[in-house]
Amino acid sequence: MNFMANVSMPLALLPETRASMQGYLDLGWRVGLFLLIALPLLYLVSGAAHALLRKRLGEHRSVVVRKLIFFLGLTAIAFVTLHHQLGLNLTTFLGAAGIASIAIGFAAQTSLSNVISGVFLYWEKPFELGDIVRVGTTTGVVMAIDLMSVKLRTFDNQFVRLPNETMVKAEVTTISKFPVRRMDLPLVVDFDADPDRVVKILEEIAAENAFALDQPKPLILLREFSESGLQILYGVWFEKTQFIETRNSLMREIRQRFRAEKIAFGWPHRHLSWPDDAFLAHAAESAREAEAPGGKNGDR
Amino acid sequence: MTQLSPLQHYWHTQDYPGGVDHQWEAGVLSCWFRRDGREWSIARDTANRGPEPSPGDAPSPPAGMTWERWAFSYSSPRLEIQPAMPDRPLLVKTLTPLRLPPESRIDFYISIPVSAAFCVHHGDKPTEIARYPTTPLASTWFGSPFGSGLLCYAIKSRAKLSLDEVTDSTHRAICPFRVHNRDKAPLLIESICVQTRHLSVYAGMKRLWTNPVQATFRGADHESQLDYAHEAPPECRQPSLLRPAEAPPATGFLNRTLHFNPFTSNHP
Repeated sequence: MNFMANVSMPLALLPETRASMQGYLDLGWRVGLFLLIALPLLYLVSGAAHALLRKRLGEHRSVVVRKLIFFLGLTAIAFVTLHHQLGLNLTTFLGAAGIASIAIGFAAQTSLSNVISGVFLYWEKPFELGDIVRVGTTTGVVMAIDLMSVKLRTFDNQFVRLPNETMVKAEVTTISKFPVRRMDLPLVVDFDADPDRVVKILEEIAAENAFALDQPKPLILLREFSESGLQILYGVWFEKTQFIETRNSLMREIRQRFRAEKIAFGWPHRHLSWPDDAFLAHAAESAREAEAPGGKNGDR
Repeated sequence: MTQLSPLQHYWHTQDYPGGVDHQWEAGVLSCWFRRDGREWSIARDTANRGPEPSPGDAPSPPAGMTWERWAFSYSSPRLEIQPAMPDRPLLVKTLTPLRLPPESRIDFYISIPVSAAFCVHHGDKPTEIARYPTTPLASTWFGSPFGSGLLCYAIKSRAKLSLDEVTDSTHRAICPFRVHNRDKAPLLIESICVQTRHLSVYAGMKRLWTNPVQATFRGADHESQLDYAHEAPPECRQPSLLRPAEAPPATGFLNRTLHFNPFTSNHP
């Protein structure tokens, strides 16, 4: 064979190779085109479902519906791509997956528990997106309620992820559940303060405060006499969005009025009684006798 | 020159020259506004009124006020100052709790402090640039604090049974509220919750008025029927509409029957 024949021989294989390469290219274009159309369409459909259902179902449930549509759609797209576009037989794969799922199930107990807890949270609805909740020592705004966990944003802008299982098991306080709240301020006034006058002043403060609600009326409870003075519970109702304004204005006004009315805040008192000189001399003499040899402690 | 009535002195539409500060006062509200070309600026001062200007001096706004600025794509010198209803329902108490016998009616007159709405006119559609209350109102809750209720404003003045007991005021609108007890038991009335979004404001000879409301009580277990009239009350002579309702009252029997009892705290 001459040189040209040696060079041209591999080229003789090209038509078959070329045909299979062409086939792969066509498949690639088909799959790519399918994904290019299907994925954006899926985003649009899930987004539209969220927008349409938001008013009817609320933000929380409409987000769950959107995620469900997206997840199911993604699964369907994956199935169609693998089975129809690429021609893969999924039967054996599913068979193997069935065996593997038993093993995975044991390993994924916690994850499954979180998913099931998520379903309970969804139906029970103890809080919604945007609510302020306290779980243990963590207080924050609910950013997301997902399949496996709840995400909070704390007030100092930290991100906290709480597994759904924790949310179901722990005591969760939804601070912003109701439209109005009561702000309980514990006060202590001096023993000499007239309780009736103090109550009247506190009522006036609440009546004049811009953020305190007229109804329900403020709670003023004379709790107990403590070592510092008379303990009072002063509970003022306010609209839940005005926590800081209500607290700051009340604290300022209480101090201002108490000062003007000469009502002293209570503080811990200790009364010291100093014994007289005769007693001190007798005590010193007794101590010396006890320490002297032959005395009570002297034989030791 | 035609003399303006007291109401027209406060609630009017007029052209304001640019580059000049203008003052408007009613109740405890003192507002300042000015136009600079296509821009309107407005500020309010509820606590510290500026000093009274000497005769011949142009008024000047006090220092330290927070100005709101509006920029328009057109230059319009025309500003309308309208009396507007507060942006929440109102809770008003009766002088003393009273009982209405079965199949009886009673009329209350509720004096509502209005807000001043400043609207820039251009063409047919005025654009509201600010709304301030002429009298600060305290917030209150009508209903159960555990969920079902309404956040309202509390009016300090009581619901009166006679128009003679109501004081004339240029910044308070009188709402005639008729109660009809169609229950077989007496109706105890201690306070009334008024939905302001269905109330229009009319100017009479000396007073501002709203369209009258009729509440028909059918018992605690049934819905109360609230009917909002579409015109000024008969007590208002020579009425002129100053501001229509935010949400005009619906017509039709099914729309008028609301799930709302204005006399108790059973708001769903």
